[in-house]
Amino acid sequence: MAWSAPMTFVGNTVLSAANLNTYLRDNLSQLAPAKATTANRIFVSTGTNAIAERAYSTSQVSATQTRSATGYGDLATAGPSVTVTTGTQALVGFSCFIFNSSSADLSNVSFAVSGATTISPGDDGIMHMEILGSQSERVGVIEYVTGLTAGSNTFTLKYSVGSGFAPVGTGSYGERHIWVIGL
Amino acid sequence: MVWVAPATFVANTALTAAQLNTFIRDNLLETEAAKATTAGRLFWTTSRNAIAERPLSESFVSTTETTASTSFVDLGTSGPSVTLFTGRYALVAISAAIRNGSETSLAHINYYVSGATEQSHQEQSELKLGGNAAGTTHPSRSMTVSWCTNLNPGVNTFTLQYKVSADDGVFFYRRLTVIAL
Repeated sequence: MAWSAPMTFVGNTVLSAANLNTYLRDNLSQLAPAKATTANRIFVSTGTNAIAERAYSTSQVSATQTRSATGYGDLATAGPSVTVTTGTQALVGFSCFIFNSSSADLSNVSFAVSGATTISPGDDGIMHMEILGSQSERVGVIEYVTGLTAGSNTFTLKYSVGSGFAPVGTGSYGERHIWVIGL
Repeated sequence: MVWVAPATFVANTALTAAQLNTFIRDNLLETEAAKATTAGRLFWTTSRNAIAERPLSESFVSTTETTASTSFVDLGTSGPSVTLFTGRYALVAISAAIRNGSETSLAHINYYVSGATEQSHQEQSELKLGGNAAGTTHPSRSMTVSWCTNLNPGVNTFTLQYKVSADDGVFFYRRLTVIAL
């Protein structure tokens, strides 16, 4: 059942079961307490007079591993990766410590989306970190992702070096963390 | 109308239209389902027994541009800029790929607020990255996420600007994300 704009009750008119079912039972069923299923979730609007419970998920890979390729890909231990049910949007945050074998080269981190939606890492509009140099730095970003296909979407960190510049060195990445809030 | 604490109904007393309108109609109209208008928005409390739907918005400018200004200015392509309805607070994330022609100089980005609120660049929200090692042209890319307070509720515009401590700063992949609270 869907939300119905509550009627205005009028004195000296019959209050019917149909009225109570439509404006009380069915409307209450559209509210957050009726839709809450699991602790630690949030509610988002999904359209006019419609809300949904949304989950968040986090994942971390602590292993420090390297990559020397200029195209985004996995490390020896892929990920981290999270799968959540989203609408057409999500908030994605990721961080890691990162450095390059050369003080003059870039190490990059981005994320890919798979499942209901396919988005390649580093695509225009998709946030990525580009960190220059051989000092170990820990940085993080948040991305507001739109244009998702509603449903089960998987977000996976990916890694590369360089950015059209050469040489590219060897990037090292550790304490890799990702979180996603479905919207 | 506003939320009214629901009455405790008593047996053998008349149930009036006024009660139904106050405790059912009007209270239902204060719920998140009644206030939901657009997909992907969040609900926040605005005061006791009151909530509001709040938007998120993001703007991205990919153009690579430069400045040698030591005070915050627009680049040739201004922005990015985001306009949305906020309460008194917002969560603001700013990022860019940045490089500076000198190893010892910094390049800065920060935002200001206009519209319902006039608020200049706040130090706690600034992103600044160091210059390049001599002989390199690689940028660095990072982000700050800050809590923007003391906003006047209403339509507020957040605009990203740029400066350097010295020399020429180059800025690209410029992004601004605002979560209205």
